[in-house]
Amino acid sequence: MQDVAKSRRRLLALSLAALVVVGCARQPAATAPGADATPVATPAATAPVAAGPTASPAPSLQPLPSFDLGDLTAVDKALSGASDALSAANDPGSEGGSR
Amino acid sequence: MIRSVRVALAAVALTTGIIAGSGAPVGAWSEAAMCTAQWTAFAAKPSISTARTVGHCEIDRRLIDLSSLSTAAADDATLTSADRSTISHTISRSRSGLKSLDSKLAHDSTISTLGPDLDAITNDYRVYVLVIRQSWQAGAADGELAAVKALGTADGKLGAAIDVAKAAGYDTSAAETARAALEADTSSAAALIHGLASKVLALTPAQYDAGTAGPIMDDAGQSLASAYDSLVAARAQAQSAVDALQALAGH
Repeated sequence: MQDVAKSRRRLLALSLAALVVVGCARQPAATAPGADATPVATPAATAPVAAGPTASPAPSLQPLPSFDLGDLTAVDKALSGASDALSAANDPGSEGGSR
Repeated sequence: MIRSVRVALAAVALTTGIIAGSGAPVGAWSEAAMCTAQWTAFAAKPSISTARTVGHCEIDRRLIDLSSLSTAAADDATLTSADRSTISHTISRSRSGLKSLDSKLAHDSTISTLGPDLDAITNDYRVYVLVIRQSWQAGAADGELAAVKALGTADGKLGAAIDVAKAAGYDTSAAETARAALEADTSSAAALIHGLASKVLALTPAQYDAGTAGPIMDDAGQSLASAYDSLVAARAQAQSAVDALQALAGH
């Protein structure tokens, strides 16, 4: 009879201890008065992950400045003028049959 | 007497060259048919009067084309001031001489004076085969030099952009290859046209008549054409380099 009572006390003590542990683990989130009081589980801390032999991430490339195309426009203008001049030089007209 | 004049004028016609039997002169500059009526009249009735009329017309034709050349030289944005000045002086000298010659023709009353004056219209000025040609060759050379300069500016900006991209970790090999080709083509063109404008502008009618100016202008024409091709290629390489850089930048 005494043994049975002793066992019940031990079981009760263990149960209380278990409740304390669970209670500590489940801290309810602070909620504003009137707000939904649904408890939100606190995310567990991320355990450090040992670095493995994975590939390095691609380097983050900086955006490049746009190139000024105006210089090529200047090239085009000069080449156009040269082309016209070449055509004129190749067809200068006739002295009148004495060439 | 009349027959002897005709024979003499026919001889003048053959020796001056200006009165060749091919009919009206054909040129891109002046009206092709500008002096057709004068040539036809002379062919129908060779005389001092009809020959003189042909001479007047041929002088007018040259004055018109020299005026057009003067306007073109003034409007040519890439012509250097030195070359523009040289061309302007040549045009002024030619116009002045031709006007004096025109006045002289009006008073020529003998074959002995008319013949040399008709010859002089062509031989003393060489308006078409020398003045116009050398002026436009100089214009082409200066235009190509302007292209060389513009390509040099573009090359410098490309170099800076490549440096930025390379420092940021990009693979700039394509842009660098295109830039190297751009530089090679530009250098090749620059070598071909170096000093060419002043060289052709220094040529004189006397050198043309001596047979030395023509080959120089022929060579100049080939150099200008080759240089032009190189510059077009350089321009394409510049665009390739720009495209490569823009592809890196994600444009």
